[in-house]
Amino acid sequence: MKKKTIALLAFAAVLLALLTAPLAAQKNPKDPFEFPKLNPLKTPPVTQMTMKNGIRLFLIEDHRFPTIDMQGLFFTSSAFEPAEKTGLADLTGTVLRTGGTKGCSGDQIDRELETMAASIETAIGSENGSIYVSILKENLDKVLPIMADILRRPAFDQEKIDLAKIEARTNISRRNDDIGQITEREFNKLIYGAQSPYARQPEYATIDAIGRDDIVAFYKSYFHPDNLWLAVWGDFNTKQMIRKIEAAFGDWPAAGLKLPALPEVSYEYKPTVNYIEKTDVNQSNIMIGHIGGLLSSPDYAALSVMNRILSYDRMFKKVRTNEGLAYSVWGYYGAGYKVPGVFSAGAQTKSGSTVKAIRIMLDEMKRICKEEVSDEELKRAKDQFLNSYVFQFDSRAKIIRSMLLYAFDGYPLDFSEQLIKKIETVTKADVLNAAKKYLRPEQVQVLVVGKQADFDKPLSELGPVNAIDIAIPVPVGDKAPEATPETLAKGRELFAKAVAAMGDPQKVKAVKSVRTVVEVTQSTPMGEMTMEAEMVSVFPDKLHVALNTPGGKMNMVVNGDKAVMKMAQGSMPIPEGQKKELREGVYRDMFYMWQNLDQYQVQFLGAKKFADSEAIDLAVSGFGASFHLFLDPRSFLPCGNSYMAMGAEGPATVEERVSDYREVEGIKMPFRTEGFANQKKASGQAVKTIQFNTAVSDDLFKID
Amino acid sequence: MTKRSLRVMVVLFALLAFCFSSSQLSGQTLDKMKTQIQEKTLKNGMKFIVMEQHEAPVASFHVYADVGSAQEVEGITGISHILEHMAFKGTTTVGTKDYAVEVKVLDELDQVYEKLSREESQLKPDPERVKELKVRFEQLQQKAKEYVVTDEYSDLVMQQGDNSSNAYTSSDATQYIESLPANRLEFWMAITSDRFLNPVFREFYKERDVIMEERRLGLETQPIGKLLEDFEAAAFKAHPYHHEVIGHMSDLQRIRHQDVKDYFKKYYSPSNLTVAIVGDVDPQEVFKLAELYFERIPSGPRPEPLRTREPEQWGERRSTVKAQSQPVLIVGYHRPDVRHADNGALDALANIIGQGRSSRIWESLVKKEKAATQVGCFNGFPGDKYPNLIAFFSFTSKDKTAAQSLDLIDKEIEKIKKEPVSAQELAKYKQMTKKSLIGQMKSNARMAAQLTYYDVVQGDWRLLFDELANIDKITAADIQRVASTYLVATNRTVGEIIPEKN
Repeated sequence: MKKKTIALLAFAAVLLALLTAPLAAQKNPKDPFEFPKLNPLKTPPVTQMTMKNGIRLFLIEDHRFPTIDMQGLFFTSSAFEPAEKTGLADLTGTVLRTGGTKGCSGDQIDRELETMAASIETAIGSENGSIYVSILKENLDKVLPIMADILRRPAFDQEKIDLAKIEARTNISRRNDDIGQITEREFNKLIYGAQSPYARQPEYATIDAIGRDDIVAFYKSYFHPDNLWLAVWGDFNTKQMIRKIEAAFGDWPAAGLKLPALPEVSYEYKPTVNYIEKTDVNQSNIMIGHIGGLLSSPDYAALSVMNRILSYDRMFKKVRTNEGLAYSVWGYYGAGYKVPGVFSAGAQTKSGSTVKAIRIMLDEMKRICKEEVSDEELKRAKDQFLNSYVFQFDSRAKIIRSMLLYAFDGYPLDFSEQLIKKIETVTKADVLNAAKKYLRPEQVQVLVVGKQADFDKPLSELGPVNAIDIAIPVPVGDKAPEATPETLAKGRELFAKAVAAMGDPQKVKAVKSVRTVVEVTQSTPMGEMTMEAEMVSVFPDKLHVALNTPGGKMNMVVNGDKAVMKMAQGSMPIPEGQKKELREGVYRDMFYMWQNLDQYQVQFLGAKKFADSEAIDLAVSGFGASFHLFLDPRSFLPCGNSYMAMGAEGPATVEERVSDYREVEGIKMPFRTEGFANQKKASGQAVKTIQFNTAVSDDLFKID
Repeated sequence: MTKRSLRVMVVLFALLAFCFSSSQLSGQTLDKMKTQIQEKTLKNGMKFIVMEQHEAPVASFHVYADVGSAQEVEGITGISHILEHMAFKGTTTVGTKDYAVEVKVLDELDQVYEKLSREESQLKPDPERVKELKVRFEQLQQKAKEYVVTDEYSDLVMQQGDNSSNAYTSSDATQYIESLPANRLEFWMAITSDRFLNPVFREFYKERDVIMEERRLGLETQPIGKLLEDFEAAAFKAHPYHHEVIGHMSDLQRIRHQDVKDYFKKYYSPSNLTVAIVGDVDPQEVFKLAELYFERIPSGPRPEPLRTREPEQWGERRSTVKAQSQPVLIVGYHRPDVRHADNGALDALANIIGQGRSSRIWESLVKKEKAATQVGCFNGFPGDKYPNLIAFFSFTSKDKTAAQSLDLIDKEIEKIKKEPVSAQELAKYKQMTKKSLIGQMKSNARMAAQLTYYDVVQGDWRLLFDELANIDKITAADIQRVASTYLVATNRTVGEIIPEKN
């Protein structure tokens, strides 16, 4: 070829190559990337000022959308309520909004706000009392006065207080429905103390004890302008907004309050193992841990990194990598602004992996206290913090809300920036030191909520187990009228008649033990279940039940203060609540009553409808039990009793109706019992045989 | 002026005020937003919509796959949701220690599963053979596990700063959401294009188990879950809205690995994917990178649109579930899809009759009669891409019945057909919708979701910005008309939880 042609061809080849070459090669997601410099975070102007009456105001303009939002914080806390009125702060926070104002009812306010698609919400928690307002900007002039009225002139209408109390009581009755809720709440009680203001829970009695006066007094103690930090953000002109807020709140007089300090938390490190029975689940909720710390701790940066590695790289991956070991697992070093948080690691796992999961979590805690984390883990954790930092301030709402919180809690306004700078410098040694200083793997408290019958190993392998009773204390049932000598005498007389109707009263007195074989039918989620059972009861406090369940034989033994359940796998203690119920059954027993009549008070109340027919109503109390005993008006034989117990939906009236009397060894006994809870049939029992005073070996009641 | 005419003027001014404020919003904010949006469709049909938002150096990425449980047929119900789970399991490079070896084990695993499946489905399966195959299956699963790098996809995105990696499946669509610092744009391109170009559905059988457990815990043990599943099945006799996103248990037990691969191929072709990116990005740069990373995905045909349409009901239908729960009532009336001209009026109807504590049924059932503790009304059940239901629900109070709730709801329906709603209620609806719409546009992530939804389901992302003007056009007469047209007894399905004795 001629030189020129070759050159041309070469040139053409190069040109072709250039034209068809890709712009760049596609990277693989795991390749190293060189990211362009990130644009800086904007720092929009924030106006801060303190009004004459003490309101600390923070404002930031945002003209992208025609909305305005406000958040106000008052320094108050549920920790300030008296223990016997637990729930007061929460009710006050609710009724502050729902109870109306001096000029407008709660319902009217609801309607007005809804018409404008405006919302005002109030609440009081353990760290503050808050108000949140969200509106379209065109409605500011209508909503601001309503907001001011709610804060300055709340009416706390009695009807709305009653409504809020009904809701509070319903929440109490439902608080054991959800396993997650139980776990978190009870763990908090372990760490802070069951009676601690940071962990105690409202009860029916404490809700009942709260009156309107209490609510008004609580409100008056804390809701004043010199106790308010208020942030406003959205589409407005700052000067104009300040003027409007002055107009609405300016003449609200400062109170010069002397506010209490939040109660101190003093924690004693100690290892404990705790168990709460929940039988309607096939998984366990586990929490292990101890007290955490404060955000202001100088080690908080290292702790954050340590926690991230411990919970994500270690516990999450390890516990989940083990096949089917957990649905979820996590760890959290809780740090509060003013009150120390809780350090906890937790998991939800199949019942059959409970102890295994706990051991793995404990091992990981120990490991991070012994060995330095890897370079890779450190880098990953720090990257995750540093790279997601930008999201903390990606909107003006976020910017001002964090500023509000820092100001309220006495933290420097640039706390986040300082923290991220510290995180950048955290080393492997720092992580190890933080772990050594703040984690106590040998002194963790363990809480398991689940069904111990299905555990892989007994929980006692981890240490002595404390079974926690979460039965909700039942309010006292209908109070019987004042007993008079007449009604008491008549009561005893009728009771004696009942015994005589059963048989020779001397014979009845001589019955010291009863052996019964029954067929029990119980309504369960799986439908009706029928089982055969043999019960031996030796007064006053020995009971043995042998049950033939579809899953195998099961024995239950009550002996004095102890009670266990025995199965093929071994025996397990019966939780407090059920134990109490089993033991209390004897106090309603006719034989026991007759033999200890001087310890009972039996009051004749009159005639009452029971099981669709007229009956004699006797109010009985003794040995701490209180119930109604109903007698047939013609035969005087007992037709049943009723008492208050804890049902699935809250306190329930339990009725036991007996019938089908037949003679056994000269004593008339009912061969049929039906159990009702709140008028609904719950169980039935058909007796096969009854024997009195059989020879019973003490071994039968042995508790291993 | 007389008292009467004064009153008229007051009302007129109030209405005018509302009109003015709505157009203020349209004038300033929305038009400006529109100018910040650009779109581009790649050669293989994949569409990118990019909106600039420079408030903070972040960006949200939203991938919308136009496939939901409505695309599923009997035998593979639940597969769209399975595929969503599978999308987190990695690719030929992400999530594996050595794909070349791993793939051989996975293939063998599938083959053994086929044999096992076939043997078990014989009329007389050979127990020895079954046992042998089960053992082999377990061995292979264990072996395959050795090559897995667990959660590598999630680790990679989290390390880059993503705290809100998520995905969800509905009857209408499957959507994948990420938010990252804005300078991670190319990283997102790389990891996402890889995700859809080279997916590997590893740990398939294990994940199938997880999903079955999800169905057990989330539906079969929840009274409301059971109610909704049966209610849907009764309301839709033909259209695939009749089954739940989670799928039937028997299908979940038998869906094969190959089924998932086939479904992916059919429904995740680039022409069926729409992406919205909202944040501190340059649209031209985004399109350049999109071409580089996503055009390598081979184009495929757009899946055939769904054939089956739900015919008109011949009469009212009923469904009941017995459970340990207080009574719950749900009533649904058939209505057209979201693109229909009646959509706005049906929205207004639901709002006025049943959204919020000053709505008609709340005032009647909760406040006045105390027949229920919670009531509501909503459109778009279970989806809105196809003709769906406008539904009312009631959680009855203790000692009250579902029949009482139904009766009271009926009364409110008859009232709203007879008398036009008040100006105040209409104004309330417009305010609530406006506020809610603004809320949906405030964050990058929500904006990206809206853009893809409007583009795919409504036909054009620009329609999002017409919504406010549309709201203003609704009249009381429109609401009366749609109530009379759709809230008719023969057009309804009633579902009820009947409490089971404890």
